[in-house]
Amino acid sequence: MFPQFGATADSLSKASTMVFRIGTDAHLYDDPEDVNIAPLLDSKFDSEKCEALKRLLALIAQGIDVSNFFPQVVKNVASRSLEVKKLAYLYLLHYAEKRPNEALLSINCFQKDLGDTNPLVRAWALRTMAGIRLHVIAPLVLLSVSKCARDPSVYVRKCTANALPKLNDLRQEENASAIEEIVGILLNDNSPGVVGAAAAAFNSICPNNLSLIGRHYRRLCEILPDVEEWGQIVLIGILLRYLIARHGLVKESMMFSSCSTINDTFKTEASGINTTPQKSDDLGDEISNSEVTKVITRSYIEGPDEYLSRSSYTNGVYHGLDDASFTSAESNDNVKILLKCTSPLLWSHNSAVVLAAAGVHWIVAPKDDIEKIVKPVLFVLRSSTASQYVVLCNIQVFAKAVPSLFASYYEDFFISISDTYQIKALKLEILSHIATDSSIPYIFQEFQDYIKDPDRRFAADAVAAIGLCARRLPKVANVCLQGLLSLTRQEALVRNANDGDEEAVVLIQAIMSIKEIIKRDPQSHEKVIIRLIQSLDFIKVPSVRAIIIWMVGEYNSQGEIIQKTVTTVLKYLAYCFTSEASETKLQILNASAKVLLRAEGEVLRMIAKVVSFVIELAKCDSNYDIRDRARVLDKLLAGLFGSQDQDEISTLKSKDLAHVARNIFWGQINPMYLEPIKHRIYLPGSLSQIVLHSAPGYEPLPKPGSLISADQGQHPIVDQRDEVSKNLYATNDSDTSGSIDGEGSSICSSQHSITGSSLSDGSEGSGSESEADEKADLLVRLSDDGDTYNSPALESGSTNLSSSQSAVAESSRVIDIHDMSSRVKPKSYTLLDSASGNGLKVDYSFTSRISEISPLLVCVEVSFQNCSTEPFSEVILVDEEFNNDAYSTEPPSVARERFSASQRDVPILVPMEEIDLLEPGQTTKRILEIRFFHHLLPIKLVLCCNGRKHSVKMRPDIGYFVKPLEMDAEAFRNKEALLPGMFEYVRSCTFTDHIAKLNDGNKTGDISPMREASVVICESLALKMLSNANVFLVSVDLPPAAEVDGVAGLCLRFSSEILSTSVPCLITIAVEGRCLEPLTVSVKVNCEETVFGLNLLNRVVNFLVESSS
Amino acid sequence: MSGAASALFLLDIKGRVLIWRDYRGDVSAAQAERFFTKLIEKEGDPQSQDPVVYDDGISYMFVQHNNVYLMTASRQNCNAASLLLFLHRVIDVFKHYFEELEEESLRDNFVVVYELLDEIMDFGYPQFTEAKILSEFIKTDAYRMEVTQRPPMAVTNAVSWRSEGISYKKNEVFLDVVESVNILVNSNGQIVRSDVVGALKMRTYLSGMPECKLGLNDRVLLEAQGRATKGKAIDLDDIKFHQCVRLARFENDRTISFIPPDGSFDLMTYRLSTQVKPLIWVEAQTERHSRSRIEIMVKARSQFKERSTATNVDIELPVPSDATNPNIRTSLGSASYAPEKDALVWKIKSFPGGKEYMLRAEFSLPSISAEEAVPERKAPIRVKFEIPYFTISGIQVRYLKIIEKSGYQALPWVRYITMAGEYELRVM
Repeated sequence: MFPQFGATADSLSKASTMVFRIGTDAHLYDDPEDVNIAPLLDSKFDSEKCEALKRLLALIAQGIDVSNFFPQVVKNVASRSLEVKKLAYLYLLHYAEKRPNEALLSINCFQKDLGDTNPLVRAWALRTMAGIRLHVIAPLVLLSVSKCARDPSVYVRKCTANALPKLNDLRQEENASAIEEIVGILLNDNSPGVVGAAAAAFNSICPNNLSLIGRHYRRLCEILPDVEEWGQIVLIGILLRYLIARHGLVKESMMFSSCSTINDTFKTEASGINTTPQKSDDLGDEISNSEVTKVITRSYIEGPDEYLSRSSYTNGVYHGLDDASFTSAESNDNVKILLKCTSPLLWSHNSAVVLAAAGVHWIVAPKDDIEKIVKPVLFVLRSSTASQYVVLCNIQVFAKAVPSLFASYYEDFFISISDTYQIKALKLEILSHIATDSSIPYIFQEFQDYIKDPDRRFAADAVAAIGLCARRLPKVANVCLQGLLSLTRQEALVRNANDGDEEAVVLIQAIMSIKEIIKRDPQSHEKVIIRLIQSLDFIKVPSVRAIIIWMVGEYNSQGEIIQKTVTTVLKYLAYCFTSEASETKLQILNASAKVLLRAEGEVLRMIAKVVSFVIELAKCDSNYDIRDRARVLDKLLAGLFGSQDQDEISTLKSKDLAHVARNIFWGQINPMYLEPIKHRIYLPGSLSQIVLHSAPGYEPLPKPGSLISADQGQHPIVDQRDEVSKNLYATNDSDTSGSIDGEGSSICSSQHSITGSSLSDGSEGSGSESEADEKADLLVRLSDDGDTYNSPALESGSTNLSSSQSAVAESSRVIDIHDMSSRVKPKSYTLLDSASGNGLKVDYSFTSRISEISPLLVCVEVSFQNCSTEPFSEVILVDEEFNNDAYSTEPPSVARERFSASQRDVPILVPMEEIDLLEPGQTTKRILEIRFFHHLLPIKLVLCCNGRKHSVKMRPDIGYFVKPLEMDAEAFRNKEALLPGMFEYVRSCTFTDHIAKLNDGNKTGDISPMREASVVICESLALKMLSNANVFLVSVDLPPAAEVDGVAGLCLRFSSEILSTSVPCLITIAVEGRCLEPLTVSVKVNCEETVFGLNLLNRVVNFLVESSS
Repeated sequence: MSGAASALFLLDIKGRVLIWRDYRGDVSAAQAERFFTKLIEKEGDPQSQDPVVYDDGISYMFVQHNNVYLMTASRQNCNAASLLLFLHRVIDVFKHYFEELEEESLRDNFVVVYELLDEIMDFGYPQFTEAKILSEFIKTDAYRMEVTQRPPMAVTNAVSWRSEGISYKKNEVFLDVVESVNILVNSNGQIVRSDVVGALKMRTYLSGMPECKLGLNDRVLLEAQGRATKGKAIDLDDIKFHQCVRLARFENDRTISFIPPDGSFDLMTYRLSTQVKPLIWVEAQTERHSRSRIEIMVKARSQFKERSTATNVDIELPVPSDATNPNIRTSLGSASYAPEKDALVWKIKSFPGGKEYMLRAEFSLPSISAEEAVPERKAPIRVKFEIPYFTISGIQVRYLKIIEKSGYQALPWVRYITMAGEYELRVM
């Protein structure tokens, strides 16, 4: 507003700005600490809180760490004032990662806000909650997200879609299918705004799950013009990928024509493709560009890195495209609809949208229709410099592949004074590619202006561009040559070139271009060579002279005039030899040798004299390279110098040598192998295309036709099958990957069952709804309903107490639950299987041992087994950043002391004692103490053996993040009473382990009265718990005797405390149902650490459900 | 596939971070600052740089505005065109909020900036970038505490650019047709490139949800309607529409129909690449009288109808960089020597059509150069002007119908103006 104060020194302007900036926040930014912030935060006035928060934000902006205010700020999240709330959110997001425990305090507020009537409050709460990058809250976010996906407010749903990638970022592997399901729901939303955001989510979560798009393809196409612009860009990309994956390349498109030319040229086995006769006549002059289009096509599909590295490239055979990979624009409605819906977008104001739409047409549209994109794309050049640059980068690729597209628009690429160098260079390159015989005169006229540009770097580029045009259009080669020659003869230019580097660059470029032109047809350019030789008189730039002299040698026998003058020229060169630069000297030597070898008769003698003179001079040169060259030449050419005192043998020998020399200098040079085009080409609009390397996350188009499924909308039967297979896949996936982490797979499985049921219903919508309902229920339970829900269980526990105690006293068989520990078999997981470890098999299981070093460490027993026939040596497990670990060299005992000294330095892995030798068949066990950063995410370790490294992942088991906490039933109930409401979670599941045991018992003839049966059930439950978690069995309530067949009332209580924080964690398992049927088990966890408790609960439920086999 | 930005930075002219918003937590401010200061040191002027730079696994994209740099950093492959355009939109948003975007205005409003950064981008994905919509729920004034805040109606509407319940006493629409002429004349006096870029700029003050229909003398439309096209029609080739225009409808029957946003916006831009006569033609002759004196004679001619008048004509003529002691005479307007641009600037307030004016200038050249110096390529002559009530393309607004269910009458006001865009005449 007052720019005059903008740049003045702080001290000077402070007084004046104070006057002028009243009403702004600038004083807060400039002096955030001139008042005490802490009391303001606790003020009861919102305005004061606001000011305090603003001051904190100012401090953050200035890079000062103000995380010490965290607890005070977090309280304000609960404020009723939106203003305060919002500012507190900003602060919270900035520091949440640093202060995870305090950040969790805010979760309750967020959950409450999610139920607010104001959609803005709901949306912001969700956005902020998802933005807290803490793994522990991910399960809660997932619940909230699935609830908000059905929010009545568009704004909230949009925020939900945006929250999905955040969530996905936190929990990469787990719950992927749950998240994908929500993506699907949101993609199907009625509001275009939500669809746009959902598209972005799809892209970052499951870009390859294109069958999800298939269901909505048509609707997405139709909604495309209404989606907000940023969403359009993403959605266009997705639709294109789906189309390619589903239907393959379009037969009429540029991409296909290039493919078929490949097949045509190389007669590959994929002959089925060439159903349409080749239009090679049409292609006409573009045939030379087919190479480029070929590269483009394959780069798009395979990614340039992969493609360029493939050795089979030189054969040009492209495997893997069969009939299924092609479709036709005429017959395929999906192609038509995408083209139809993207073509209006070419009129968008948003240049990125235009580019994205153009990209679709470029890849999919019939060849004749591509022209449609030209004008819109050229119009985009009229926007900001930055976009201009990006657009030009893309046009460059288009123009290389199909020059005719832009040929008539060459004027648009003429350079303006305000263009930056990068833009100028791009325009030059495009111009030299699109020049045609008819436009070249105009383009040349422009180039001539460019050569005079004060920016000599650019002038040199212009000269190079002229050379390029000459090579592309042989007809104009002569005109180019004249122009370039006149350049080399411009005295002023040459004089300046001799003085300065800048001009020299232009001159060198000019000579190089001339050389390229002459090389094509040296015969007819004899006069040019002569003129260049004449110019040697005044051109002093060494590299230019070197090139001219090279031409003297190379073309010395090309025409009559050169042959006549060559002796004189050599004499001249010999005369100035001593004053030349080294590179020129070398060329003089080469040239004279070449001339000598071609010379005959009288001239030979003359030349021989000159050459030997030159060689003599060169032998005394200061540069060793030149001296060496001279000596070699001297020996090689000795016979040609024709000394008189030669005997016959030496003549013979020298003739051989001369032959060798001829071979060296005049031997048939294999025609230069045409360099395969090494352009790196990426999809239009991508960042990778600008920086010309594949940026992380870049993915080429999917393989054409790789998605084999029928059109979802039209063939519902196939649709279902498809989905079933997808579900099957997903289930398998969760079985293998999610076996340890309870909660991930449990949610997956619940979902699968629901999706399955929806399939039988035949309606998708109802299925997803019921699932979401269930989740919503869950959320309610954990937030406030827990208390009421659980009270019956508690009651039954207490009423049955007396009877159960008597039962325990009565039957000794019941009491053996306490020595159950001997029967506990911890589950073992594979860390490295023998196949991928070359015979080394490594398993691990969690133990109940407690680390003596730090409570943060968990003990894991790792067994190393050698399954091969060779011994292994130096087997050790280290953490990924082992090399940086300063403690690694210390003996374990010292390390132990160090670690116990400070909690903070607890390593990921306490150094393991190395196994020196592992004989075949031998198994060695080691106890490792590992610190898992997070109780759900795996930790990466490196296994070294025989000097090789394997990276392995060890998954944590939350069941072993606790240690037994001994207490009696009384203490348990007291503690439980202290942890009600939000600290209590309940989930139900079915338990089936006991059935097999009971049946076994029946078979052996043991008559099992009900009481006995309930003991068996109790035993198997306890065993299951103790085998999967490090907990203490506090007490068991047996069902009252009144029930004959039922076990209702059976209740087990376990207690434990969290290793790292010593917070008690109580687990109660109540059983209902009948003995010989699957039992309904409700598991309740009481724990102050809400998230930990929830995760533990999920884990418990998960392993209870698993049948032990 | 297409990724998102990791963070957005607002940097000062020295490359220090003023304000930044972290979206994904994988690029730190220190890292970005280090990169950018290095870039400035190395290249001096980042404007001449590629706007996209890859460094140490992070792609940075930046644009400059006044003394502020806006930069995104990303660790993924993202849509470069989209993010760069996004930065420009951010500039527009800030300009709407603070009138001018510069370091000082950012400091003054840093809290609002934070709020905006929170709303215009979520997790690295661009969100609302329409200042109009944003200002509905992010306010700068002090009253905002008292108003109950709701998400903008626009967001919930199918029409995302207009809120319901707008009301004006007087319903008016102002439509400005602004055409800029881009022309490039080479040293031989030939026009090598000429085109016209036009914009229909609208300011609407309309109540309710008005349906607007705009009729232009577009040849295709007129022919479709079976009307005679007596040379008055124009060919609209390249068009870009504001998102409010129903593109599918235009594709079908060439009608431009839309529900306009409230306030000012660019309804459409178009481009005509037809040959146009340079509206103002400038010829310059340079004579070196001896090695120490140079004389420049300039003729400027207006080549449009006499009834129009060009205003604010600025003609920038290149002069040798070592010229001193200017002695300038003009037949109209004033001229001054601008040594910082190596140019002579001739300003004419009002230049009627069909007239020719002269300028004569003499400079001394103190440095003595060689007899046959390189014919140095000079900067081109640049011309700036405005011609009100005139369009070079001949575009005409035939009608602007406004239909609202309350049935009010609205007054459309239409103005035309033509101005110079990239107007360069190269001289030897």
